[in-house]
Amino acid sequence: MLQVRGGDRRAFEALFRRYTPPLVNFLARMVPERARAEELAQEVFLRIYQARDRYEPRARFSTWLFSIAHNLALNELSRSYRKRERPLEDPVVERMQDPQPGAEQRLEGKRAARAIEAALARLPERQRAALLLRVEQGLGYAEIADVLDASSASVKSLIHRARESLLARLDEPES
Amino acid sequence: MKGCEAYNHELDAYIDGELDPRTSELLQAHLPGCGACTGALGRRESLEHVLRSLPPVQPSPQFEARFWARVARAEEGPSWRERWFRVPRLAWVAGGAALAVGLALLVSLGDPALSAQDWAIVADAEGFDLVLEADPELLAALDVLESWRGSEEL
Ligand SMILES: [Zn+2]
Repeated sequence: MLQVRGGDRRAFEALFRRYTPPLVNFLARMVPERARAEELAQEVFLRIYQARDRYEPRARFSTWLFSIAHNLALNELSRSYRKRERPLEDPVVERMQDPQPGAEQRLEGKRAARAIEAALARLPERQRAALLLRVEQGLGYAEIADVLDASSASVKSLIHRARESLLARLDEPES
Repeated sequence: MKGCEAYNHELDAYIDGELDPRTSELLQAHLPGCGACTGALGRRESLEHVLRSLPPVQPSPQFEARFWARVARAEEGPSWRERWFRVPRLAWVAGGAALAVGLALLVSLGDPALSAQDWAIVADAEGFDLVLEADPELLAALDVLESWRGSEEL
């Protein structure tokens, strides 16, 4: 990032390519519409690109990136709640191609994945963000705390409650 | 010694490797003799496995191109002016001709990145009055121009 700060566009491009997949994935699980998630991911990079001369290496780059992403996601969610949009329809697994015929295990896996995605989508925002940052991005509690602007203790609690809710939802009989 | 409910609250931090060593030891000592806590841990581990095997949402193929188009839109106007003002005044005097040479050279090389319209953009830049659509390719071409002009001044 320091190279990017020096105006090295290729350094920015390297960061851009490295972080595009995790960022899009994170935002796609945070906001209802896939297209909107991509726009928000671009917004995150745009802000970073525009602020590149002012970047101070006090935090890890990923912390900075996901903090911006999290804030934009929260704004988006409060906006879409006002518009009374349904949260996170169109689970990602629905968009996957069907597994090969007869692949029972893969079908079972797909069902489980779909159930988890639906349950994830119904988690409160901060629980969802904390769990995603832990499980999908591999961030530690301290870094998640920085991203969410919370204490490590509350991150611990958010993640605990998130997993409890997911387990409870998955135990519910399928409707 | 803690009770099962207290341990249950520590299981997530435990599987995340975030539990302090002391509590971690206590939990490890408790687990073998407690079916409830062992079961709860097992369920969490299965959940973790499914979560980690979720197919990631992939960015669309046009993601990067769209981003640079957005950057170009955002940089229209003021930042362009900034870009050109950053060149020292003296460089403008000496560089005016060099810029023209550079442009001619670019065109003679048949660089497809600079269209006739882009030509006009660069020419207008000399008047410091530049509010035009920029695209990333043009930006790159300008970088080339700037470095050429720099070397011709030497
Ligand atoms: Zn127990």
